[in-house]
Amino acid sequence: MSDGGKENRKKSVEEELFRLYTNFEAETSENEDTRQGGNEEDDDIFDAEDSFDLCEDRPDVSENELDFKDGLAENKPRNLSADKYNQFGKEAYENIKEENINSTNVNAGHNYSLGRMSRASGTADSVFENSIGHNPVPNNLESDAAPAAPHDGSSPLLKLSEEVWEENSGKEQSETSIEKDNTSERYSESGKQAAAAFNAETVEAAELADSFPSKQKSTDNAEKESGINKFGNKKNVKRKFNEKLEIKYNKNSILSDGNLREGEGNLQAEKKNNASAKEKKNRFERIIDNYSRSGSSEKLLSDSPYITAGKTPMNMYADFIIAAVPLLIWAVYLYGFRVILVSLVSVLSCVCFELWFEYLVYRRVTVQNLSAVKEGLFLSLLFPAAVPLWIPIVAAFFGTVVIKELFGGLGKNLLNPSLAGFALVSVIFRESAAVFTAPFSYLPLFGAADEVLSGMSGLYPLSSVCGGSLPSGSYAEMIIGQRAGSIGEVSAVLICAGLIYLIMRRVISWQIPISFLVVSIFLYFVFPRHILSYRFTITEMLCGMIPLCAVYFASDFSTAPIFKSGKIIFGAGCGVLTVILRYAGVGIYSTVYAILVMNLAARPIDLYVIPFFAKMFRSGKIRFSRRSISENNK
Amino acid sequence: MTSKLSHGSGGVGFRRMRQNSSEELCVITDVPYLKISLHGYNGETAVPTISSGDRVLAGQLIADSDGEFSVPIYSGISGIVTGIEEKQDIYGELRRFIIIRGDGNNRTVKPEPYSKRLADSTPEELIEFIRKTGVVGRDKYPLWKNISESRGAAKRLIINAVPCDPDDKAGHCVMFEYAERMLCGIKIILKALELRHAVIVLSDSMKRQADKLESIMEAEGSGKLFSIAFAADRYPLYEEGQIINSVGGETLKSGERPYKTGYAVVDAVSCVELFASFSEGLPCTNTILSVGGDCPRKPKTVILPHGSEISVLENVCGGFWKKPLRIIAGGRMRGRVYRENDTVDRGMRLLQFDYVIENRGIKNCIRCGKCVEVCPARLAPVYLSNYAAKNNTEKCIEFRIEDCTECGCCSYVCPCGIPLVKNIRLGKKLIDTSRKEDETPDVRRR
Repeated sequence: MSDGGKENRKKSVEEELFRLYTNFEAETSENEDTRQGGNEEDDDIFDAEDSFDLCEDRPDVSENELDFKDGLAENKPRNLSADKYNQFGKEAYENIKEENINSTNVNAGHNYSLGRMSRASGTADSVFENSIGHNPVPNNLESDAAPAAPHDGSSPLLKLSEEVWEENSGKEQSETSIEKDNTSERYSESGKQAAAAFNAETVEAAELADSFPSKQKSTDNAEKESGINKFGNKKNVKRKFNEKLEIKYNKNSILSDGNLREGEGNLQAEKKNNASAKEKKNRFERIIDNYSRSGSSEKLLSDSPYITAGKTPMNMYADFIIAAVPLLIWAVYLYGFRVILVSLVSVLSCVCFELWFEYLVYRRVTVQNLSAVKEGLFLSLLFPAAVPLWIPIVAAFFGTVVIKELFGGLGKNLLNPSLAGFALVSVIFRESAAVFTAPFSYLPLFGAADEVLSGMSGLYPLSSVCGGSLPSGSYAEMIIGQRAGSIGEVSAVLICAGLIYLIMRRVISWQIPISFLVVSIFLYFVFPRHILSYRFTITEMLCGMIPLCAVYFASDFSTAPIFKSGKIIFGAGCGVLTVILRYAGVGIYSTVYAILVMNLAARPIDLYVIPFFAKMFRSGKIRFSRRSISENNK
Repeated sequence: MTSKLSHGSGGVGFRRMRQNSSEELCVITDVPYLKISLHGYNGETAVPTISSGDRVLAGQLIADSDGEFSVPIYSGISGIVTGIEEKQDIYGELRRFIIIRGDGNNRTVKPEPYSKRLADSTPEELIEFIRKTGVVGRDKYPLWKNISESRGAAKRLIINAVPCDPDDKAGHCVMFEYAERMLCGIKIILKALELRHAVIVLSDSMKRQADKLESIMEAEGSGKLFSIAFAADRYPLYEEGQIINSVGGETLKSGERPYKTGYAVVDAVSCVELFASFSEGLPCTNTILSVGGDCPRKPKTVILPHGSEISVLENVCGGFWKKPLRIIAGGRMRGRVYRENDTVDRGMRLLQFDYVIENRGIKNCIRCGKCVEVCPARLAPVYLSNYAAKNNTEKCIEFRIEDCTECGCCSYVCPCGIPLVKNIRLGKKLIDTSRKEDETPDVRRR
């Protein structure tokens, strides 16, 4: 079943909350109406008391104070108000002004206009009077403000949370037998609601949010869902939830009137589908216990921050895709529309394999966040345009299913899926995967590639470099990318543009690609393949997969360390391994294997290497000195 | 003298956050009743000095205690005490309240302004007087305690006017409308601390306020007493540790008060409140509160007695567009949820009525590393939260979980909606409980 979309879910939760809120308001307002009579009596008594002279009751009030009170006969705002400030502030201000250290500069005749100082509050008072009038509190508020019952919860969230609290502290009371059977369940449901309201505290709450797709009221739902119910569990849970709420809110009326019919009906409906719900309840209760174990229900309710930056994984993967599109367009210009075909095949196969596997193991679908699309697209960047179409499919299967999904899905994969898939294919189908064609030799879309390919062996510049001979072609051709090669790797300029875009959008950080490139350039200059022949160095940097892999694959965040220093170590390791593997004769794809090896090292770097260095820093061997403004002002 | 502060590592900008607030000031004095919380800093509860049925005047002492962080509490209106009751708040903690029903007259006690010249008074006298005014800081930390502990230890005074949220306009408002009072309040604090210089830290959006302050300083000739520094409009810069770090470069360890690093950090709003009661002779019974959020039609900055009900603010702000679903005090990043019939507390500076509840569900972590980028304490919230969820306290301590200030930046930027801060809180609590168990001798083991 589909996820229903982020917006839809958000909306539905909000609406549900709003509905609850208003329902509850309607109920409580009735109670308040009945209470108002008592309030008026209280007010009368209070007025009568008020008519007594204040001084007679209070012997401790001095005569001075009485004088003062007479002075304040008009009812004026007291604190921070204009009049009071004029009366008492002047002396104090003069008093303090003399305290200035460099008071020699002060003009003695400079009288500070207190009118100016108190102007602000004066205007504020007038604004206040204009907007609200003399009595800012309307009548309905006064009735509300009766101290007799100041906490008659006007918010359903409050009530729910209080119940959760009571549940935690074991104050659960047994009422009738029916009630007793279902109290714990009801409480857990109400806890769910509280959690959902407070920003999806748990996974259960998120699932609950999923189960609010329709905008119907609860009664309508109950009628509708008596029919065919395809998605059994989730909707049943929802219906049950609504019924529970009704029971909860109508509890008083049901019990007092003795009209148990509705309640019974609802309870029977609950019993029908409590098998799946019980599991959920237990899981949720466990989480509640987890929180209550740690002291108070504050853990459950105070879930600051209440806002989010609004970025989702989808945004980040979409940025990756945008950064890869120029490479594709350039490849279409070089090799023809077969490039599009290859990338379409790999994208579709990645998406399909991921969907299939997620349905197979009942995992939440993650296709909509574009991660599978990104992987497919990046996989196609690694292949030459003339690759047989079944090879990307095999690579996609290995990458998405074996490398990614079997390890737990997105974010839990140890290796980059597209790189791993490509590595497998490049080893097994060594000959058929590495079919490089000359630029501007457009291939037919399907089949008949052999005729074109027959005269095109040994065109790939890096393979001739590895063989020990320099390829033909100028530097400009290498940089702009008019040469034989994979779809994505040819144009160093466009790769640089992609790097800048990704860094500007803060999708990747600069540490990995820059350290990768810097270290590999450094090593190639220090240890060139032929001494004093730096043309080899430049050719190896530009003609292999180093730029592409450094920018698009090594920087993939889910298979890289998360600390900045760890990222630098990671990138440097990639560079060193690439150079070593190339000199060891592994071949043209040594960059890919280097990154895969470093991917395995990413988590150990996070967990062991960085804490080790952090300990050294903290022990005081090395200290950062930071500039401070304190020197300026001393 | 102005300078620009560098913001330390991490943090998030205000630019992307929702904003609906204004610097328009509004004073409320007539409230029908007050429900004054006796809860202070660190869970200390004051003891009522009056009993139910008594008549009180505005500014009369109603509760006090001799605790370490105690502050006397005064009534904001004149009226009759209708009860002293205990009630659970939304987090399940028991709170004591004094309920005062107003008579609408607003009669005050006899004002006792500070009679001595400031030059003649000793710091002890000043601290005594500051305690009597009952001024508290942003997190209810008493001003007198802050000053008395910093006296001698602190070499420099920092006046903190950096907002905690884009909606937090209390500092803006106070800086402009009551600039002179604020400077006078700073002078009192300087005298009490026996210091000669204060750094006023403003945010980038306070150019107007800085101009006004400078003109006043010029007129007074007190330019050498104060210096103005601008901090960026970033989120956790208002925290004491962050502000000390960006002003002086020292790092404040977790759980330490700022005087340990040689700095005293005082809220700008409490300076104004201090001078107000200093000159008027009446204790501080008001809070300066900026009201914002999605719902108010005309957001305002309000001065009202603490203890008044939150629902009063609906009419002050010109009504609501929609019924608020969540009321947050103290900023959306690390504030607490309040109810409509809760009361405005001491030290409350910002109240937001929110309708939009952002709920994106929880997805798997994709290890994007954004939480590490924004963490001001240079921690790794992903790993902390993972280990805390698995009850692995050793690893939590190794990754410095106690340096976390729970600022919420990591949860804010997390694209996957993982409740990182909540897990870290849980981990901290676990460590606390395990330490307590270690300290108590276990008889059964022997």
